Amino acid sequence: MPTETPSTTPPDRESRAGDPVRERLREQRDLALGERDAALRRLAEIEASAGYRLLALFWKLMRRLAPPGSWRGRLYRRLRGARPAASTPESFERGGNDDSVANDPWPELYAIEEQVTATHLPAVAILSTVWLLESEGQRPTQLALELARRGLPVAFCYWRWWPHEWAVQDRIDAGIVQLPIDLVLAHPERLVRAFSGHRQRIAIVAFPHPDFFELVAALHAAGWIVVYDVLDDWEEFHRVGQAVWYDEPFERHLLTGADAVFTVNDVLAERVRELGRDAVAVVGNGFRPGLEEVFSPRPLARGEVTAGYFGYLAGAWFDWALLAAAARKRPDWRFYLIGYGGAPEEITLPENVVLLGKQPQHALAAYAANWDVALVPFKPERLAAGADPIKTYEYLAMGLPVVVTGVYPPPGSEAFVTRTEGVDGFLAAIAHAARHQGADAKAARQRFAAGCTWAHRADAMLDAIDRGEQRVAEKRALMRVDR
Amino acid sequence: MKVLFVYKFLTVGGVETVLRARLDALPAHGIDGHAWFFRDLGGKSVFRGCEERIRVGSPAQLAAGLAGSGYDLVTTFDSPELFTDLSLPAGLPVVVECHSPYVENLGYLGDLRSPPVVEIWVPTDFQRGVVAARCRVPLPIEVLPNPIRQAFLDPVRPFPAPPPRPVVAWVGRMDELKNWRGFLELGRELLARRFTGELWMAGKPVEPGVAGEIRRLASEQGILPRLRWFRELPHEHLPAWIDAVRDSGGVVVSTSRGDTFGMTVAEAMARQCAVAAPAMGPFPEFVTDGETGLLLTPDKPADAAKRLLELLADGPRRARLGANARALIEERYTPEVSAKALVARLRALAATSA
Repeated sequence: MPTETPSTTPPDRESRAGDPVRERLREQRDLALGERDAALRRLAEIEASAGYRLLALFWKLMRRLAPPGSWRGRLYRRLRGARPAASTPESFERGGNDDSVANDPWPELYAIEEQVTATHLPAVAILSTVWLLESEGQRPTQLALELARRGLPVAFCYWRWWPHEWAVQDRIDAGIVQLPIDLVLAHPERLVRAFSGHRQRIAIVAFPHPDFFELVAALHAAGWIVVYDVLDDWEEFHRVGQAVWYDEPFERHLLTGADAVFTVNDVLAERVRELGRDAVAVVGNGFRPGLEEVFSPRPLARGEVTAGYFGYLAGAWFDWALLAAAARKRPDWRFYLIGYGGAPEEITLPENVVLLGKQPQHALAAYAANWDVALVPFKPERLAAGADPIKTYEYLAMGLPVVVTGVYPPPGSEAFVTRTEGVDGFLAAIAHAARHQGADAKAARQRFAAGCTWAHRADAMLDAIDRGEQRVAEKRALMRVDR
Repeated sequence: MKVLFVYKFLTVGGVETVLRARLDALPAHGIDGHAWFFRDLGGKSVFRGCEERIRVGSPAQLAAGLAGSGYDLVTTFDSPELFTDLSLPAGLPVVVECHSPYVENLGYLGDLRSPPVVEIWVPTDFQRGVVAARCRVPLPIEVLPNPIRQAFLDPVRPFPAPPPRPVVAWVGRMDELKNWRGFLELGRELLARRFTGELWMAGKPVEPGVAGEIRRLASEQGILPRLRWFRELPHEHLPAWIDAVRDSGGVVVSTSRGDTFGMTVAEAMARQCAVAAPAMGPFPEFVTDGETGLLLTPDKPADAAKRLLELLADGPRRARLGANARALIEERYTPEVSAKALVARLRALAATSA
């Protein structure tokens, strides 16, 4: 497949992609939407917490004791004040709300079908938990962008919290149409029949939502190569109160039937085997070249050793206790944290831990240029073990040595990424890594990262599919037309 | 001679398959065959390559088209609109082809009049009995075997990339009569007996909500992880699909409670695949237990699972059953055999009319 990929981007796409004002506006919008998503994730975490559940029980009890309309109810409301209830959807609502006509994305899908003439290239559909936000850097987004850059049409199906939310169709010129997943599930045949003139159609399922049952069956029957891209340990997410929709039998079902299964690391590959899937390939995460460039310096006060982290500061996996303890033991060091979120109430951060808040993606390299060591301090639990943080690749591309806890170094990166555990081990690893600041060491790290771009990852996936690995050859043979 | 075959729905089903085979075969016998459907429900793919001989239109449009069209005979597949909604040209003989397995659709048999109906055709002896019990007018009832499409009769070659584990497969319309639930129950019994293979289903639900019901039941019965569903598999891919089942070391099964012919089983037999079907309805007419397949006691999934597992473990036996099945289909149900029988009936009726 890569041999068939055009070597240049079509001119109209190039000119659009090169418009810096447009790119900056998109980044700002992405940032806002990213913050919204992060807030929603935080909301979901809160809802999953024991405290919230206790409160929910209390409210339930109060609704019985002080029902609306009763004098006790009125008194209770006056004392408490109104607070809207938040919801965590467990299944996709079917499309068809008031906004559905105004925002009807199907004509855009048909427009892309007509726009793409290179039918010898595969067409791709991606079922994603996230929106197409480049600044968020998530794998489904980056794969969609990378594939579109090669001229492959992409139907990017995004999960949304409420039916009135719509992604702006700002990637049509690039060959990407954005469809809400609930709408796709309401009209599966529209996606299933799309791109029927293409030599090959690939559906990448990035999360195992059980509501995909019928859609996946239809994709199989229509000859799509169904890929399950295992990005996380969803069962563990479910166990900690997120991914409330998770259903293990359905994930097994998806694994059995998928024509190809990719995981981001060996830990997830092993889990996939335990769930009954023998054939699986590891394709790690990657990074977007250019992220390592410093556009304008962002000087920071330095410590004896300066270390930093950027990314989502999720309580579910970020090891605040470890970081706080380490910082306390080394008051002359400085730890910078960039990202949405903050330490939980029970953790008091020492002064040498500095929260910089969420920063634009293009500024990350400038902040990181002040660091001696980059960190991924995740809890040593199953949730983190299943992750392959994209930031690890980004740190390496910036030339930084990396110290991780909870997660594993990407295969081949063990010389540049140190995995450790415990406060003392963490400090020792940081001190050791901080001593490796030579130009050669930095170049070696960057060379490793250069082989881990999203383009390499897309190559790995497309090549495996092109070679007919796993069950892809079987699917192709199943779909051969009348003899 | 010019013949028109009328059916109410243009979908991907058994009747369309039969009609396609007829349209392919009749020109060689000097007969000009056409087909008319009242509603297109997505079945045009069955007639790829001969689109000029099919039409979709209302009964009124058909009535207008029949006048002066030169048809010598019209046959109708369970489509009483032909008698109730339009007046046929005087003297045009009509044959009723009764293929519907749905009892509620056979009420029209009690209202048949002769003329215009001159004869009733059915695909099996079993269906002859069903029709005879409902028909008030003493009309001749002839058995005309269904043809298997040529694609299923092409030479059997090894499937290039067989599934990694044996497959027990089910094909059909996902409704109560075809009994998809029965297949899930069979799957449960197979897994309870340490079956290590996969369960494949090819079919489309007729009613909304069935997909959710399949998932719920499959999950409850513990078979969802082994289930691979192909929703609305195009008919043209079915031969290869059956080849994959065969070369996985698997079996095609039917749990149907109401077939008039058993096309999906016959198609699997044509691909030399071992089959298992209920010992009822039309199946015993071409599945001989232990010779051309297995006949299973209906609604006894545990017994069926036990017998299937024995067959799955015995490759030479599967191969023998498959070879016998293929030979039987070639003998009885090729398009040529079926066309000869059809042509003979058409000529006999033409002679009578003359």
